[in-house]
Amino acid sequence: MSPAFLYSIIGLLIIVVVALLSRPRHEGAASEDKISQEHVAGLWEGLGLSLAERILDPTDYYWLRDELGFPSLAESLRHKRQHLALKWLKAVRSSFNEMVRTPEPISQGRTPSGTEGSWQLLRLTLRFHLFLSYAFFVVRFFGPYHRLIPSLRWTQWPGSAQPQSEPYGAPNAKHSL
Amino acid sequence: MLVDAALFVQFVFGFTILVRMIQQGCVSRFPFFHSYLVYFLATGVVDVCVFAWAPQQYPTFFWIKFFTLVIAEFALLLEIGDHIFRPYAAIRKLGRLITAGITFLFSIVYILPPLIEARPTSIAILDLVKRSALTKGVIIVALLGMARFYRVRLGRNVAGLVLGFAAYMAINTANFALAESYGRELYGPIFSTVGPLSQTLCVLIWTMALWRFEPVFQPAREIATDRVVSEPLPDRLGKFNTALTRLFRK
Repeated sequence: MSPAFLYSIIGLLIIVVVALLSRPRHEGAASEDKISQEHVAGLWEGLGLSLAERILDPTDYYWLRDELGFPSLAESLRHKRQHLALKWLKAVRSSFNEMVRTPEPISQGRTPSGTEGSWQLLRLTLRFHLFLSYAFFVVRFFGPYHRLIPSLRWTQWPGSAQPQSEPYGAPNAKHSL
Repeated sequence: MLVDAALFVQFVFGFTILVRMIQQGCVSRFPFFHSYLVYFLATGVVDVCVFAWAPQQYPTFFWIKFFTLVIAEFALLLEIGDHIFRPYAAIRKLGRLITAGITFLFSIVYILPPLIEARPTSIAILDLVKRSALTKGVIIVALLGMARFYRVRLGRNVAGLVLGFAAYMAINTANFALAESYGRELYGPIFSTVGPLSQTLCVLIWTMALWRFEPVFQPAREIATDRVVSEPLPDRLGKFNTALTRLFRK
């Protein structure tokens, strides 16, 4: 294939992709948004986080496998939990994106963020997506109980100044089963 | 004849866009785009004058004008990126990051390295323009891809601006690649026709898209009160990050 032909194909592809991507979204997508909003409501409340902790907690997996001696059942549980964890991560991403695309209400007398503030917000947004992608990768390929996620204790996020001594909800293996 | 007609049409449509935008008082909303358009039209007029009265200076003038526009187009992409993400505080600078990042990366690995190769100047120029046009096409696709990922509304004006520009860049990529491969004798006449036609197509799309100014949001009317939360956005972003980090640290 000659380079000229290759570049012509690429040029054509660019036009097609841009035409597809710049189309306005149809009504169905808007209603999907509403459904998604309903599903992710409360995701970051105590109950939602408690559920996530329970999904990612390996206690009952080890209890089934080591104490009761049902390794195949434990594997099945792990597999189900992996699917749940992936669904939860997708819901987290939807929830986050919903917050990100909330337009700033400039008309209500609030000044738009300055340049430096905007870069800081973008850094936090990208940081979240990076970490979430990493979590997707780990959960998909290594399962929900793998401990590859690094400790980021040294980070100080705005709004996280208060000490958070209590967990969102202590997982309880007995209640899980 | 076809080229002359194309140049005339693009001048008329370009001038029409300017008049329409001035009438609607929205020149300040697209400042760089209008500067680009004014420069494009003004140099087009000077182009014709130089060709008529000082033809020996024409090639020099043409390439100076052309390379100025090639560089200005990168700045135009910055403005397009700003327009796409401006209403959303958390990703307001995303367009700039994408544009600057891809420009820097492609300059290092794709646009600049062929310049140090020993080859005829005409081939080097064609190759440079082809590569920079492709880079701009990639930037446009990346901007739109990210806009689609966040499901942000483009609006008729910005969508048309992007579409026209992408069509121009895509045709430029193919046109300069074909000229580089087949040479002046074989492809020269087609090359000198396709270039002005692609510019005319671009200006035509811009005219249709910018005929009426339609802002993406009417903030006071469209932002529902239940979506306006009292907690500052940095705090909410921080909480998301903290909650996720804590969860996976366990």
